[in-house]
Amino acid sequence: MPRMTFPFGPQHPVLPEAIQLKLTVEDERVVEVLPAIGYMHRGIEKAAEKNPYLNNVFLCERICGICSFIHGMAYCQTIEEIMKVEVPPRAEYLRVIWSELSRLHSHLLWLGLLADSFGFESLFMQCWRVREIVLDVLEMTTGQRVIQSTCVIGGVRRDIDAEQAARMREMLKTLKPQIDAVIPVFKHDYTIKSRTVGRGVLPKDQAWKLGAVGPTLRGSGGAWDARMTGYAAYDELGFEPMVETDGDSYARTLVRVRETYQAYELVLKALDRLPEGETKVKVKGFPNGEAAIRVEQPRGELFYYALGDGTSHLERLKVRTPTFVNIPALLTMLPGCEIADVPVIVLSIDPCMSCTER
Amino acid sequence: MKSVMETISVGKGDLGLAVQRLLDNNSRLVTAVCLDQEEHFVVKYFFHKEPELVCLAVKVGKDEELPGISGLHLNAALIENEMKEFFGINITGIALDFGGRLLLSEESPRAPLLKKRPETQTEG
Amino acid sequence: MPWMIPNIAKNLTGAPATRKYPFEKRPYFPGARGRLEVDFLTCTFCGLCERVCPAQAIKKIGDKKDPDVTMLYKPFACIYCARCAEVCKFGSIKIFEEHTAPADRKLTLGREGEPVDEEFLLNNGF
Repeated sequence: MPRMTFPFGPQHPVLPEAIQLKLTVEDERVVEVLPAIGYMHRGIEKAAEKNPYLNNVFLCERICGICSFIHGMAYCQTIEEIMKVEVPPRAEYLRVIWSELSRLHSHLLWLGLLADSFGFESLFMQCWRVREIVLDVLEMTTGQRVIQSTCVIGGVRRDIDAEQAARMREMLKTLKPQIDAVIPVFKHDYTIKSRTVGRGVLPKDQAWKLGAVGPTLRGSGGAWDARMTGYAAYDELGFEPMVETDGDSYARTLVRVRETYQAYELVLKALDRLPEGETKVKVKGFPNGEAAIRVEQPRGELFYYALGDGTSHLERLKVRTPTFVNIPALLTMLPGCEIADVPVIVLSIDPCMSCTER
Repeated sequence: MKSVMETISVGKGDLGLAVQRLLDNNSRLVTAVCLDQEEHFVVKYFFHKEPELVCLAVKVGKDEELPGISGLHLNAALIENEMKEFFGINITGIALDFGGRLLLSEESPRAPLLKKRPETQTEG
Repeated sequence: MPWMIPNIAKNLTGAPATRKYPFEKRPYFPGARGRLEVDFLTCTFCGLCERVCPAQAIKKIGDKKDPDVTMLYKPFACIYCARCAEVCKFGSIKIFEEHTAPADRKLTLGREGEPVDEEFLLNNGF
């Protein structure tokens, strides 16, 4: 059978962001894949060395547009670890609320994109309509829809008062039936099952060895979630990772479906238990030392490393995003599948290229 | 909140052995961070060893070679490519070598994360 | 398909899910960060906002004691983080809920909120 190589991307209808995969195919079957990234490199790690460390929060938030709050929080946690800052408990809970809202809207966005990847346009529209409520909640509590900019070193900048909390509960109450209306389609629909079940299988041991993180790992049965380390208030709220064992695109979808509900529950739980007190402590001095932090993004485990030398500028900031380590896993999923399944499988790891390239 | 991270300094030659020992223990690579420290590089390999992080620190001279670990652990291939590109550190035996074109393009500055930029900005 | 009937009835009789945008605008949430305004009557030109701005969107030109000291603000470089409004001791920087209107070029605003040519000011000893 003659082999042929053709490019998939960087511009492709299902890809929200630019990645190129050079597919080598035999007839309709993919035999080899080579990735080509670097279309969106912005040099944020270098820029972080040139900015004062307090201003880097806003820079780090711009690494990713979807989980911007979690990026800002991870950076703050890293610096707080270096400077031994104790964050007040109320701020920890508020951080959980906002990061779980980010996860909620990211997963709804992804579910819509998955539906779009095989042409299920109406489901795509419905998912994004539901997501709009989450964005409204975020705008009401933080002041902005996508780039929240509420996390600062030493706590958070805004508080959720009783009036806002009541309105937030009200909005979340209208959200629940809408999620309930959309999710059964992902669980039971024939179209979705026929395009995802058994496609892009990643066995558990391979997923672990290749460094897969987040729903990609948990869909293969690996029970690891960075929230298990209990950062922010997760240790007090109680947290169980969502695990599926099949390792195919459908399992990864189900993990995200269950995490959507879990994030919803966590927001309400954190809102109920929100302790009274300060939301911010004053931070003095400059970071001197190093720290490495892992937090859980909607896409997987996010790693931050910072090295400070006692001046106002950091010596080094390293960000390792989940998609960066999910790419090797993607490369082992693709060989053996058909060309028509490539978009769905690529999307099933939830690629975020602007994260990857920073 | 978090316990102190364990840091092990290893020599350049023992890196493969130390990595293999960690991998046998069902650990896996989280990432590697390269630091530019005036006369030499320090490469820190962070491993996830349930449930903590373990750090292997390797000191490499600016014009020395560092044997890559992507042969042992494919996950390291992209990370090593990135380090090679951003710092100009000479890592050998990368499983999937992009030749300095993973994130940067032909017109980009060479080794942008070095503290002192090299004299020649473009590659011949 | 009898299970669709309630849904069809709801869609036929109910209000549309969308908003007729230019005629009907969604109210802004209180505390949303939209437009920024600097009140130069109360401003003392201490330069604190310039220092905390992560996007270098505010620039002080001249010394505090100078009579022709001025402040430049670039609304199209601004990321609306409201750090400046937070640190201002005199309440001179206010952030409003409605968004900045679109423009056909990137403007730099001067003391009175008038568009200025930044290059000209920098080259003429300001």
